[in-house]
Amino acid sequence: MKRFLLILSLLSACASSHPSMQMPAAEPLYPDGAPNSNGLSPSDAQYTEDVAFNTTEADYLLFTADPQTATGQAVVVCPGGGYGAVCFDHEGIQVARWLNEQGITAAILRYRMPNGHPEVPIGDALTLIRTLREKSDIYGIDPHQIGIMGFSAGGHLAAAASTLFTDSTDRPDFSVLIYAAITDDQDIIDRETFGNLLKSDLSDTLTTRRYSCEKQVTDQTPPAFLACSDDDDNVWPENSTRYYSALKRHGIAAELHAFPTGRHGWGWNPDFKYSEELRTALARWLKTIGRDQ
Amino acid sequence: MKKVICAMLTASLFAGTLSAQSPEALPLYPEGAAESNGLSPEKVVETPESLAGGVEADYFIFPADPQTATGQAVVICPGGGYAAVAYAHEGIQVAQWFNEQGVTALVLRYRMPNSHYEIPLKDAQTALKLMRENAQQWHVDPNQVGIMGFSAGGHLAATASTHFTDSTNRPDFSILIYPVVSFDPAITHSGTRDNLIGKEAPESLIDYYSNEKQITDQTPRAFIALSDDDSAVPSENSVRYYSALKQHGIPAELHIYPSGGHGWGWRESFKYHNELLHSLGRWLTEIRK
Repeated sequence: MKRFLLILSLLSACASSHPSMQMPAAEPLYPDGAPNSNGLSPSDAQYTEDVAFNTTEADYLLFTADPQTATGQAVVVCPGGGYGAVCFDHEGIQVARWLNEQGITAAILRYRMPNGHPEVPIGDALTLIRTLREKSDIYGIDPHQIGIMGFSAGGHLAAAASTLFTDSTDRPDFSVLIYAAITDDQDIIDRETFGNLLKSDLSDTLTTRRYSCEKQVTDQTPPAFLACSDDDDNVWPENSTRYYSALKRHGIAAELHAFPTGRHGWGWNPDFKYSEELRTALARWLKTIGRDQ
Repeated sequence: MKKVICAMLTASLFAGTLSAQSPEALPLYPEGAAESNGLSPEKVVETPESLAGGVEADYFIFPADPQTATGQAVVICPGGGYAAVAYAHEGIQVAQWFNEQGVTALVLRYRMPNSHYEIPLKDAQTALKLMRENAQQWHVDPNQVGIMGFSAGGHLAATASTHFTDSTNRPDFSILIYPVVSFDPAITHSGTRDNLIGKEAPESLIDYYSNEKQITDQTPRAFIALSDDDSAVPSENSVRYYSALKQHGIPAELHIYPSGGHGWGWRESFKYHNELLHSLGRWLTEIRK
């Protein structure tokens, strides 16, 4: 009964109003098996048409841009879900379709839940970047224009990938962080995200520090586009401003928008009041980001 | 004297470039101000763009068209490092845009402080009060009077937003464009700070005019916009002000555009000019009472 209620509550957290259109087949991220495990059992995993719960296998949905209008850019899209689920419709599929309209290829990452093993989803994000880069010829992608985008906990994942990458094979070239959870600062830490990520005492800052993304920024961190709602009482906007400030301390370019309302989780729903302003700014930023680098 | 004559001759040559609808500058203190900034009137330099070393405060009033007036009004404080006021591209052009939104605007040519740090704030507070006293004539709702500032004018607007004394001079909202907010040496614009409080100012004065430290739950809501690559006034000024507003539960909107540097004002050449005007126009509609 408890699990049923949990699933219901997670479902309501991932509200989606769009029927699925033609969908690409899910590609397994590790055809030969993953190098690590989050300790969950495959029977725990559940998939609906817009949410994946308790994932133990990572996969991705590749939305290739029309070659006629492709810019060569690609984005790994990390939906949110508090690190308990992956809400891959309004923070995944809808985003991917919009990216395609901009001539950008999108790969929606249905990452594995950490369940206290942060290296699992982070490894998934970095592996997908590396995979896209390795297959850039096949996919018609410029290997120097592979970015990562994330919402909420997926935003944490995107920022973690942007700060904890191994080397040039898995470093994102740019990042887009939407109402992202970022920091372990005790005054604003997002307890759901970090709790599910680490499953440990969140006041133990020696452990949490590594995953406090603004504390891991260096002069190699990719440029970022950040957006959130000023009235977000789920993931505080200062998550975004603290990441922004860290980028500034290291001379990294960034753009930031805190819209007045909308709270949290609006994703790519067109009824988000500032949807047009956000899309205009992001489309414009994506067009110039390659040239700025 | 020679310099002033030269400047005036140049100004008259350029007079045609100013909009034909530009009103006359009116004295803020028709009876004379109570205090002096110690600057010499002979050293004032006025061009169609800028007034440097201002000794007398004055203003241009642009009342909204009564047919389309929203009741909102803005006191605009142009920038200039507290040594000048750039009253065209950070003043008159902005006021004309406000009128198009049905908003009354007053371009304040505040006096330069010359280390008399209370003077610009006095001028801003006087202008806010004046707007409310003339509410009927200028088609203004006295509860919808905001303040706007650019750069050092942004510092003045932020100071007015945190150091008001009563309902006659408390702004109902603020619009800060690449503002100097703080006098923290790590992030301030030192020319602006030195011109306001001097080079030897005590810690207490530095803190008093570091507006991110002066925010309370009575501070008005803000719209803040600037460029990420501003090398004159670090973006951290705006981020600190925004964060402090958050800590006190004050609503705000923040836009940090990727480029443009500093001082773009209302120039159409600013790459994000249209995005900015769209957002600000939309925000003004949202905050209407």
